[in-house]
Amino acid sequence: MDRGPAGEGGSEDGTAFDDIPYIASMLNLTTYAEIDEVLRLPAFVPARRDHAHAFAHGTLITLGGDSHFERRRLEAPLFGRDALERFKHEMLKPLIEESLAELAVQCDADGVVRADLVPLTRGMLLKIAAGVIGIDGVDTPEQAARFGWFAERLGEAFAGQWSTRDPDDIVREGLEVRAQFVEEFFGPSLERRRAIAEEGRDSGQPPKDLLSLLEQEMDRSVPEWDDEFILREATLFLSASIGTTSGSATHVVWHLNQWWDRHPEDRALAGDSDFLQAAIAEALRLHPPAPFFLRLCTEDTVLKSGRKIEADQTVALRYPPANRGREVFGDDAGEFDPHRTPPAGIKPWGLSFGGGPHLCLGRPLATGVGRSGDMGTVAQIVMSLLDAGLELVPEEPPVPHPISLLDAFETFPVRLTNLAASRC
Amino acid sequence: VLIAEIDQDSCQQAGYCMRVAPTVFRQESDDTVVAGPVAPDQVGVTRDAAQLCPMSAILLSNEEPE
Repeated sequence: MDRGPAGEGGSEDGTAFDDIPYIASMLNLTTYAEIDEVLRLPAFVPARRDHAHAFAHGTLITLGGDSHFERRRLEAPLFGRDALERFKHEMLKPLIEESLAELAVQCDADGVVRADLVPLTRGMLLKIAAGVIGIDGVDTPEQAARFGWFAERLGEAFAGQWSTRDPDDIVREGLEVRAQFVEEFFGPSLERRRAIAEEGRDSGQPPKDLLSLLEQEMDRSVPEWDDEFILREATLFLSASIGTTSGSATHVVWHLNQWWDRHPEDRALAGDSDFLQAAIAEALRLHPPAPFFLRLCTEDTVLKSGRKIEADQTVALRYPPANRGREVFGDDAGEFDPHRTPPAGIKPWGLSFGGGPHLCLGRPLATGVGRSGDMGTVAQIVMSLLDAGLELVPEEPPVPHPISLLDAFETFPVRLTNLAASRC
Repeated sequence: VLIAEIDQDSCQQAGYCMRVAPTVFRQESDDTVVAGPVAPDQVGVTRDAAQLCPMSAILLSNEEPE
């Protein structure tokens, strides 16, 4: 059986979290068709645990209906084609080269470069996230590490509904960390953008980052639109960048190594962008960034399956079992197969980016726009690491994240053998 | 003349295009979304729809008038 070792990956059918206490009393939807339908129906609006209010209130992920549509319309240019080209080619490519160059001079006594894939990929993607959000001061290794520390802890707070820790502890610690983050990164970055806007130095160009965009478009007559709202939206973007893309990079490396052990003829495809994109989609399908999302039903509804859902009922949409549904992906749905062809109308990553109007805003950045040859950030990073001779370390297997329902690794030791050969 | 096409392999029927430019984009009985002619006064909203599409499934091109 070909499984990842982390979280839901330990369960072939994705039902490892049947005992999640606070969703156990809710209606749990676990089939692809029902979840896909609920995500498209306007009668269902996003819901979250109460304790998430301080971090998520009013953010894109919590909105429904017209307010969601207007926010998407406002923020969509941040991930338009011009922006994607800028992020992938002007920012990510030099970032990857810089990160590998830093590693290349750190080889051990045996001449082999070792690295932990979790902070390595996260560090690269966090600088992209800083660019999307508009956070300054992440240039030096020390600044980047500090920003990464904040991003990880704020991500935990934002994703608190999927944590196994006490929710009150998460909120208290999250608010403390957020106050520090405001002082060190968010506040100065927002002030700088305000100063630029006031001095008229932006020459009429459209805003290129979230802070500039929200600062420019913010209607201060609306009580909900204040600095703390911008902070919450920025924290959502930061959390999403950690939760989706950096996780999938480690999962695809894990699965590809197992796949190549059994299918050595496919090693030649390591440099094939379409193969790599398909492998990433398959890893995303097996390891959705979120174990579930909640939806509140606002009017009595009958799904196509015949299931009746009453108004005011909260339902848990459980992506892992849906993404492994045999009725959609075949009898080997629990297996990793980069050559899998999903049925018409089904995306290769399943529901991992949501569905309907709530399809993830940042998906094109993570996985590309879907045309042959176009690579997202994850594929660019993984291909560069494979070029660098990435190998797993048998005596140091990857370690799953210990205190979260999220299907993610805490550490993922690797060797980069081509770096050693060329630089050490 | 602006031409809009839907890449059916990419389209996930998120519905933004039909909301932004309902005279250009419509959903067929089998749920697929299709694009019709883009009238001159619909060029702006059609471009908006392409930018808003979360799957980047709207392909725009220009055709020289005969």
